[in-house]
This record gives sequence, structure tokens and C-alpha cells, in this order.
Amino acid sequence: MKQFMTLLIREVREWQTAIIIILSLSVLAMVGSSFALHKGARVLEDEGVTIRYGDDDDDDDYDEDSVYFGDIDDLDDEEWLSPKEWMHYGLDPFYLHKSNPHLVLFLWSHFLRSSISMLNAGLLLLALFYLADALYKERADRSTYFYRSQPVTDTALIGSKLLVGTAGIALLSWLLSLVWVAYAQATFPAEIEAMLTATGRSVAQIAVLDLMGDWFVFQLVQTIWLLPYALYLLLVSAAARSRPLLVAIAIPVLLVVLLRLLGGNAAIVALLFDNIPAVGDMLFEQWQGRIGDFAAPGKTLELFNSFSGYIISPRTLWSLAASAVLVVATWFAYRRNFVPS
Amino acid sequence: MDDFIRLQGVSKSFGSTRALNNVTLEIPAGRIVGLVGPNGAGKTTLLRAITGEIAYDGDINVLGLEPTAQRARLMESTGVIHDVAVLPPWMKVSHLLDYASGIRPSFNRQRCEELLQKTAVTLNRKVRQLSKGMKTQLHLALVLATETRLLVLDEPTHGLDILFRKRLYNSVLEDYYDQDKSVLISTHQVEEVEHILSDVIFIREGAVMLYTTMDALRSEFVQLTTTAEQADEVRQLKPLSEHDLFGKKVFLLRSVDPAKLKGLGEVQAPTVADVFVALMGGVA
Repeated sequence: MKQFMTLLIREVREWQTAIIIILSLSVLAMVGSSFALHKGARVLEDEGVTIRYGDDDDDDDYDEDSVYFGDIDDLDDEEWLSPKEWMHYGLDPFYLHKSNPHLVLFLWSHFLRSSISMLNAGLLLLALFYLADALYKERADRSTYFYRSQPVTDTALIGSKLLVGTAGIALLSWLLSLVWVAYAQATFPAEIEAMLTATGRSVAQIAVLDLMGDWFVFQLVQTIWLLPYALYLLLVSAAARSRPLLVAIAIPVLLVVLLRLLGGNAAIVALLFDNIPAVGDMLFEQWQGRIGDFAAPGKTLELFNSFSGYIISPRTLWSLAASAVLVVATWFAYRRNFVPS
Repeated sequence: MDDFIRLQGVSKSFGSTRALNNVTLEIPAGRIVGLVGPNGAGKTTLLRAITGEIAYDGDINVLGLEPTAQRARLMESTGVIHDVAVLPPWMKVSHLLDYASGIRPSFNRQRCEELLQKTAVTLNRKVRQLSKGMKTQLHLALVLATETRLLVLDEPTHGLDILFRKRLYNSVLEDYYDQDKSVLISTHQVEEVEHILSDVIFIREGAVMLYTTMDALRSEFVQLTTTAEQADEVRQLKPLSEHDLFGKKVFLLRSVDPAKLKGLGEVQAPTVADVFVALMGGVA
């Protein structure tokens, strides 16, 4: 166990610069968004703004998704009533569009989910670079000779890299999301909080614990579904003579081109990579409250439905089976290939 | 005495190139063995087979273990230094010591730091910032601070100056070697190590040409310096080699009765390099 922990620490140390950059960017994003939120809140408070949300591109077409803050008889004005103006009207709901009271909460919930989704996407990008480089880098700088002169099995060595590139990234994504959500909820702009309170609503309605629980399960399912691709990258990393990431991307592209030239069905390649869009589909299928008035006063807001239904699924089974094959292939490739010739 | 290393009919090919050709060896404990051969002779391949880094045909048993299948266990008792700088360049020296502490239960960090204090290597520097000689010193300190039974050195002094080379071999002798351990050294510069060797192996084209103890080598081979007039008489003894030196003739002879050499000239024990050149450089 101590040995495996040492291998994990080695991986973290090797990538500590990238991790520090990510953490710094996250802190910067937190502070930056906090500043932007307060700035935006002040604009909203002082002037009112027009925000359009929904799928209607036609300016004259308003539906329930349209964000509108103003007199219901003056919809064509396309203006929000600023909180000050709203206060002036004595908070009479008559002056509000029927979806307005939960508007801020509605937007806030989207903001929270979007930000943790983007953070997740950023870390997946890091995983892509990490996994493509994981076994290649030590071969390129010949330190593989040193590592293999240590009493560590190839299985433990490959396992440590796979664990960091999959579960490690997922855990980092979840932890950063947790910190981010806690920070965002705690620094919700006071300028617009008063407006929310006046409507009997609060950001505290957002079920943060439930959100993080759902997000943890999402990370788990995402990790399993993307495991074959992580192992594919490791395999290329163990076998490529140069530029492993480029090779990893070029192989499916060339396969598609070749199949098309030979008159074969290139859809099979897309099918092999189908788990990637499936992760996005899963996210949006469980993304609650995209439309409708879900923010009644006092009602707890769950931002995602449960992801647990995806754990036991044909896609999971396929992912695990493909991963098993790729683990064996990676192990053999690693044993065979020492330094890039 | 138990065999530390035993090879039986070991062969290895890379494509059409045969790097090892039916090698059979038995090396007991407590030996310092020099593996000597020209470039491409198969020295590194042999060492990599012994340390389980490459697959091979035949049987190898090192410290009672099969190297490729039980490499991790074998490495618990084996230290290896390669001919090229292989320490991870991005690591700090202190991190490298952390790594060794976590990976090898028998690693003595305090001893390693003591060994490093005798060098210019400092703990807060990255490996990439060290000179080649310092990297070798660091690697050697890591190996010497670990309790192992076998030390494999593959051209460890490659690219180092004479001071580093001397210090390295002195360290091996003073800080590592005892009667329960063996050292396997592959080198081109045999003259630098022959004073510490107990055995020598000559290898050429993947085959072992000679495997003997240094004592046997010194008693089996003699170098005779004689005059041109007596050269024909010496040639009757079928010398392994012959060359001119300052107007005299120098012969290397094998398994010759010393009585037959009396009166023929000056008899000396040859160096390993002399024997190597005689055997590998073509028979006179």
C-alpha cells in the first residue's frame, strides 16, 4: 500500500505544475466571477437589464422561457423592471411577469451547473494530455529504466497512472466543484438577494448536498464510461514512437477515411466513440428545470435528477468489457516497448 | 556455494540480429565480475536479460528467481545502474529520496544523504540541473543506500572523467561489496576495473568467449617480451598474439609450461586488456 501511495505521489509531483495552474485558474475564476456577479447585480439594481433565455430567436416571440422583468402590459418594451423600480411599485406581482419571481434563482441554478460542468470539461482535457503522456514521457526521457529497476510491478505502475488519470481527475473535479458551489452560494450578491427575499425565495433553497451527491454519481458514471478511452490513450502512450496524443487522434480519423475510401461503414468508428457524446446526453437528460416554474417559495431545488440509474446499464457493461481488453493490451505494450526507437 | 546467477542456453534476437547466442553461465555469490566485449557484443542485452528487462529464450535464474516473471521481487535485492542517465529529470533530489524510501523497504535515507554529502549533489536541486557525473553519483548513492545482494552496473562510467570513474569504483568496493554480494560490471574501460574484479567474462557476437577468475587468468596467460632473434622459438609455442614494442617482440601465450619460457625473455602477467585484445582482436 505504501508503495502504491508512493507511485501516486510521484504522479502528482510530476504533474504538480499543471495542478497548480488549474487551482490558480479556479481561484481566479471564483474571484473573477464573484466580481462580475456583484457588478452585474449593481447594474440590475440600478438600471434593469433585458435578458433573453430560451430557444426563441424571434424577437417578437416570447414564451415562458423568456426572461422578462416588467409590466405584463409592456412586454414589448423588453425591459426589466429594476429592483428599485420594482420596490417603487410596492412589489405588486401585477407588475411582474409570471415567471419573474423565480428568475434569479432559475438563472443562478443554471450558473452553478454550467460552471461545474465547464470545470469538469476542463479537467477532462487535462486527463487527455496526462494519459497520452503518462507512459510515453518516461520512455522518451529513459527514466523507464530507472522505474523498472525498482521493485514495482508493471501492473502497479500502469495502475497508478490509470488511477490518477481517471479516478484522480474525477475526484479533483468533484472537490473543486464542491469548493466552487460552496463559495458561490456563500458570496451570492447581496444586491439581488434582497429581491429574492422579497419574493420569499432564497439561494438556500438549492439542495447543495443533493447537488454534490448527484455530481459524485455523475463523476462515477462518467469515469466508467470514459474508461475505455483513458485506456486507449494509455495504450498509445505505451506504444507510440512519438507524439502520442497526435497518434491517438489520428488513428480513428484515418480509420474513418480508410473505411470511406474502401466503401465500408464508417459509422462503426463513431459507435466505438459513442460514450463521449453519451456523457453529455446523460448530463442534460438529468439537468432539471430547464423550463417551467420550479422555484416555488420554500421549495427545495434539486438541480439534477439522479444519475444512479446509469450505473448498471449496457453502456457500463460495454465500457468495462472494452476496458478489460485494453488493460491487457496496454500491459503487453508497456512490457514490450522500452524507449521510443 | 549457491549460484547467484545461472544462465542456461540463453538466446535473444532483435529481428534478424542475434544479440545473445546460447549463453550458459554460473556466477556464484561474493564475486565481482567484469563483462567485457566490443560494441554490439551483447553485454547490455545480457544484463537486461539478467535484470528481467527483456524477454529471452532459455533459462535464467537470478537469486532463485526468474527475472522477467518475477522482476519486481528480483529488484528488491538488486541494484542497477545503466549506461545512460535514467533518473527522472523532473524530480528533485529530495523527491527521488522520498520515492526510494516509499518503494524500497531496505532503503536507508540517512545513509544516502551521508553519501551525497561527500558530493556536490544537493537535495533541493532537480535531476536535470545536475551534471552527468553528479547524476551518476546520485544514482550510486541511491543504490548503495539500499540493502541489495546483487549490483548490476552497465557501463556506469560512460562519459565520466577519470576522477568520477575512480571514485565510483572505489565506492563500489568500499561501500558495497562483501562476501555475500555480487557485482556485475559491464565496461569498455577494463583497465580501470581489473584491480577490483574477481572474475572476467569476454563476450563477442552474443557468445561467451571466456569466463574465468582473475587468478586463473593470471596463471593461464603469460606475456613474454623477447628479442627478434628468439621470436621464432617463441612462435613454436603457438602464442595467441604477437606485436612489436620498442624493437622487441611481445607475445601472449596461453597454458604454457613456465619451464619452457626460461631463457626466452622477460615473463610478465598480462593485463585483462592484453588478453582481451589477444582473444578478440584476432589470433596472431
